[in-house]
Amino acid sequence: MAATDSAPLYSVTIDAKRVALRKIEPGRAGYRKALKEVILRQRDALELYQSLKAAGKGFDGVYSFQFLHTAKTFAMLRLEAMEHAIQDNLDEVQAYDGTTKSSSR
Amino acid sequence: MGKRKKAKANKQAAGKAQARNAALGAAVPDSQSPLTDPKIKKKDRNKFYEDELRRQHIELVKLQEWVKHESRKIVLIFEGRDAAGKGGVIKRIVEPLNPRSCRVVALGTPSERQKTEWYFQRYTAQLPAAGELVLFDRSWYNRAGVERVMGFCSDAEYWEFLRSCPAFERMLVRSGITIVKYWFSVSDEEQERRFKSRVEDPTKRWKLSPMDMEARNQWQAYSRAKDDMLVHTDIEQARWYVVNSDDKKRARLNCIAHLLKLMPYKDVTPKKMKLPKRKPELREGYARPPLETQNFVPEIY
Repeated sequence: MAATDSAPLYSVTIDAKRVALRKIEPGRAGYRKALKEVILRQRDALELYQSLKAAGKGFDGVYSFQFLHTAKTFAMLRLEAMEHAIQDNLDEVQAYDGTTKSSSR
Repeated sequence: MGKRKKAKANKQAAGKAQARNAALGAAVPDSQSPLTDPKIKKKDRNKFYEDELRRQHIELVKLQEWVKHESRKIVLIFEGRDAAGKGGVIKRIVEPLNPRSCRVVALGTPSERQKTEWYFQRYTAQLPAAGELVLFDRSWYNRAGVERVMGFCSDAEYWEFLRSCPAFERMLVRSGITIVKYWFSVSDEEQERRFKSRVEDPTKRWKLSPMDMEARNQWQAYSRAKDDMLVHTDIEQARWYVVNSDDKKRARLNCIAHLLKLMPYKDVTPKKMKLPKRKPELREGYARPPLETQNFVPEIY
């Protein structure tokens, strides 16, 4: 299925602090650019997420998706990863008993 | 991200998964497995399977003793499509174990009251105490699978599940529970073959429900739901492991072998006991009542 220029797109903007999800209607600013790099399939979104994660260079950027479900999945995966990092940190601090220099790994 | 960079990153990710798999035992290609080798007679293949299973059963007993000895709490989750072979593996794991400290949980559809409870509530009641192994034949992951595909939960409930499930499992792990999750992967063709066999075999017909028939028509939707579920809930604290289950016997052996490799158990089974001679006075003064006073099961064999 190819992306057409008559359907809305969904963009996910990721920076160090937060993740934003928004709908772009056809004809609106940024629509054409988003359409050029739009991700159609769920599988491609998952692969992109896994490859960015494996590369370890961060997720910062703007990504566009044809479907809301796919955009939401991508956005939530990034947020869940941020949450896991905080949880891991919490585990370390909670388990710290003062026998080593610091709680960080 | 450029194509080359993406390919490199994918390779790195695949490498990590391979390394993890290698640590849990090297894979044997189909052509080298005695269970699929056409040069080996069916009788010998079956014998190999039975011998391996027997060996694994002995190890499972050691595992259970260790779980009791160390007061561990183990949760094993078995998920997969209908007829993927979850029940068969569960049956083989439980077979040699002491049912006092090993339970299978297969919850039915929730009651009206349960539907109003916190989603995880009816599952938490089934979690293990110290020294127990609990096997979930389907689990809280129903929400991300059947409920999602068949429309039994709202969109909001589905996303809430994907968000809260990893946090829920992390909490369980922090409380000392070990969680291992298996996804049984069966092909379209093999599932169809098994469905047909269930229709034909009166002893297997109970396994089929009208819901299974409907689910058959939703193969792709299930595939998407499975992909989403695995990527959202595969966390370091509670990993998903996929079992290729087109071949039932291989799937059983592979799954049990993986489980045994994953658990850091030691042999703490009690030493072989020597039966002391019975004291003669134990039988003194006893006379069995007349047999006519008891109802016996007819001996027809």
